[in-house]
Order: sequence, then structure tokens, then C-alpha cells
Amino acid sequence: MVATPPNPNAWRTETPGTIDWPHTARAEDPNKYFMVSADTHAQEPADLWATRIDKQYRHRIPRQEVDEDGVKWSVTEGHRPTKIRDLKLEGEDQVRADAGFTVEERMRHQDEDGVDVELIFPNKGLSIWATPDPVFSQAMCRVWNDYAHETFGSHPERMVPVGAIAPGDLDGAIAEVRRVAELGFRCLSLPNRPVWGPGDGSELNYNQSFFDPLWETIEEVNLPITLHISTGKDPRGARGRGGAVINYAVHSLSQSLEPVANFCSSGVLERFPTLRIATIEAGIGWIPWALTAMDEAYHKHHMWAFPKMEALPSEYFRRNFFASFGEDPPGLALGRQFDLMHTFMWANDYPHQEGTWPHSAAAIERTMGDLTDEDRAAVLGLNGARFLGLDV
Amino acid sequence: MPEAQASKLVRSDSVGVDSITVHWPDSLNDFGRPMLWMASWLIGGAGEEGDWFFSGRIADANSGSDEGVGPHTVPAEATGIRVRRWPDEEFSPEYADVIPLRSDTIDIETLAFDRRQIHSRLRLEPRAADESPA
Repeated sequence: MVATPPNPNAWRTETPGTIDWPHTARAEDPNKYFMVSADTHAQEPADLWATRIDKQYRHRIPRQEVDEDGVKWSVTEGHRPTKIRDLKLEGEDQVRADAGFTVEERMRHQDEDGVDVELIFPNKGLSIWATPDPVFSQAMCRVWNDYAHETFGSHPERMVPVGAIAPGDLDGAIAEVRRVAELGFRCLSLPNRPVWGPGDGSELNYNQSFFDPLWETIEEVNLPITLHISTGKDPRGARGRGGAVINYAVHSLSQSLEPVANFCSSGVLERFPTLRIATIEAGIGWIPWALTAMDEAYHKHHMWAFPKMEALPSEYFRRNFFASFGEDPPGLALGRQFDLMHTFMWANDYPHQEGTWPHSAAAIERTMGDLTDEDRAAVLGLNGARFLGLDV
Repeated sequence: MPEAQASKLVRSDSVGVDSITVHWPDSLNDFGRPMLWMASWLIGGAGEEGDWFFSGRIADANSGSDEGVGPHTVPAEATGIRVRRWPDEEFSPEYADVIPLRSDTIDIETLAFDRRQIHSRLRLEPRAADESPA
């Protein structure tokens, strides 16, 4: 049995040190790497959507319901109802849950963690795509975008909030892309599937030319696209024993393979060669396998594989894609071998429990000791800067 | 009702009361801070909502500067009110509906937030309630 230790977070501070590192990730180091956290999360006010959504949609935003037995459930249009559990956090776990509610606190925390620039995603608002109605989803996206602009827009040197887009509402999506670009947003976020649902082949997906006008617009405004985990379909696909592990590994992280395959195998990136796309929080260890699998299918299923493309699916990934990760030793070990180091972007996932804040330097030292200084500089910040178009 | 906050609601013929006084309790959330509340008008017959007329923490309302303090005109189409609260400060609030508005005084502390509501959107699969949540 793997027992829970008295301090379940003690491992977070363990580090082998930085012997022979010309630069480090330590905030106090004058030779600190330039660091971009390619995945952090806002702490939106709880009543943000209830107060700002178009009133025609207010009764549809998530809420708690009580059944006949007095059991409380969280009800979201695209999710299976989830029982509300009285979960009490303690110690450092509670510190993470309480962090980041003000811009000033965020900046102080990121300073202490060595982060120079953060790419900010919704937190509560990751549910804005959790509906099969893309027009409703777009309305929720607009609420986030307004809030994010108001809250983070005055610190462009440190904070890059994503502009949320619901692509299933194509005309609305194009209009919102143009609106957030005019507001000064420097990055977009789309769900892993364009319309929420389990996916049965009859639904819209990113491989279809239906979305060409959207890609054309995004190329025109020159904004990179992110695809965050747990968007596109219900990440709570399992219940009961092992559910937390099953849902995280299978129904949350591995969702990201679907949009990667859709973009890389369909010719979209041939027609729109300047798109920059990043999987977010899905890790990187799976990418060498996924690229190998896609190329294998393209070769071995040549009789079924269409369109015939100028390059292999893996080559489109290497040219157009990026991928964020936190602690992923398998991915880092394979990065050089599979020519992927230029695509990897580190993130501390502030302030989430899955992240490394406030001990990012120790996590980097545990996992990046075998990398060259050049590769560490790339994955810790320079790749993120290139993805976001930052001047470094 | 000590420390309560009152919002005066003006008559609406469709609701059938001259005015409504809403007494807001000074409850605390799960973190010991003033509870976040919100109240909106219910319209139509399926739980649809119109405008909202109060959102804030009771300390805010007691300051006298929040728009929730003043009298409000009840929309002609109003069928009741929906009161939300966020004990855990997460996305999904608890809520209670008051349908119809029969009284000119609503004491929020007496609302049944812990019961199934008329316009509940809970649709459970047959076996879901018997299984541990993931």
C-alpha cells in the first residue's frame, strides 16, 4: 500500500541541485533563465458569469441542485452531474487554493517562483465550453474575455490572458477573434473539440473545411491558438474506484491527441501554414509516440489516408505545434531524439494543485538536469516567447 | 433579524404585491468571509431569468452604496425571484427560487436552499446516485 505521508507535499521541495548549470530557475539568481509559464489560471469572481452573461442564458450557467434525498450535485450542461463533496484542504494545498485572487498577489507569487511572463487561462471558466450549444458557449466566452481584458490588460509585460473562442458558432467565433484582437489579446484558446460532446464521427471537428474561414481570420490577426485539457468533452468519464486517476489520465490529458491528429493529418496546416497551435497541460511524453503513430497510419494505411499531403503529420506538428508541460521526464528524455525540444513549453500551472508553484525551481532541477543549458533556456521561456510573439 | 439588509421592491401587478422587502442575512461563507449573494427576477414558466437586482456581499450592501439597497421596480413579466449564494466561492452556486411572490417581505434565511427546486435541472442516470463520485 502506498500510504499518504505526514506531509504529502514534502517531495515538492526535493532537488538534486544545479551543479554546473550556467543559469538556474531560482528567482534570486542574477543568471536566472527567462521564464514563461505557458499555463496559469485566473481566480475569477464566483458571480462573474451570473452577473455578466446575457440574461437569456443566465438560467443555463452551472449551478448546484439538490435531489430528493438532500444530496447536492453540480449541474453543468455538458457534464454528467457531479456530487458535491465536502473536501477540506490543508497546509500548502489550501495555500494554492487561496492564491491569485488579486493581480498584485499573482505578480508577487510569480516573481517568487521565477516566472517573468504568464499565459493565463480561465479557472472556473474552463467550463465555458461545457455545453453542446456553441452559441451559449460563445456568450460565456465573451464574459471571460471582457473580465480578462479588464483584469490583466494593464500588465502586458507580465500577463498574457487568452481570448476564449467557441468555434462551433463559426460566425460568432470569427467576430470574437476579431474583437479580442482589437482589444489587444495576444493568444486565443479553443476547446479540444469544436462542439462539446463525446464525438461519434457525425459531429464537427477541426479536420473539416467548415472551419477554414476561422483559420483564415486567425492567420490574418496572427494570434496563436491554445488547446487546454478538459475542454471539448466531459473529463469525468469514469466514476467510482480509481476515478480520479482514470479521469485525469484518460479523460482529461489524453483528449489533446484528438485535435493534434485533426490538424496534422487533414491538410489544415498545409492550407494555413502560419497557424501556431499549442496543447496545454497535456504533458509531452506522449508526443513522440503520437507523431510516430500518425506517420505510421499515413504510410501503412496509404490506401485510405487522404488528403495526400506535402509532408508527414509529424512534420506539421514540428512546424506548427507547441506543447506545455509541468514535470514530464519521459518527454524531456525523448525531446532531442525526436527533434521536439523547440516545441516544448514549461508551465507552473499556478495556482493549481497539479502545478509546481511555489517550488518550481526544485521541480525544474529534478527533471531538467540532463538537458543542455540551451535546451533548458528554450523550454523554460524562449519557446513560449516565440509562440506568443514576445520580444526577448 | 439583527444585522439584516433590506431591499425595497416596488409593486408589480403581475406579481400581485405592492412592494417587497428582502431581508439579507449576514451569513459567512466556508472561509469565514461574508457570503456572496445574488438575486434575479424569474420570468416565464421554465425558470428563465430576467435582470438581476442585487449581487454582492452583505457587508457591501450594508454600506448603503450598493444598488441592491434602493427600491426596485418589479418587471411586469416577473414570476418570482431566484436567490444564489456561493458558500464555496466556486462556479456553481446554491440557489433557491421564490415562486410566486405572495408576500411583501422575503426573509432569505427562511429559503430552502437544501431542497430540490421547482425548476431543477438535475437529471440523474438511474445508477448514478448509488455510486461514489469519481
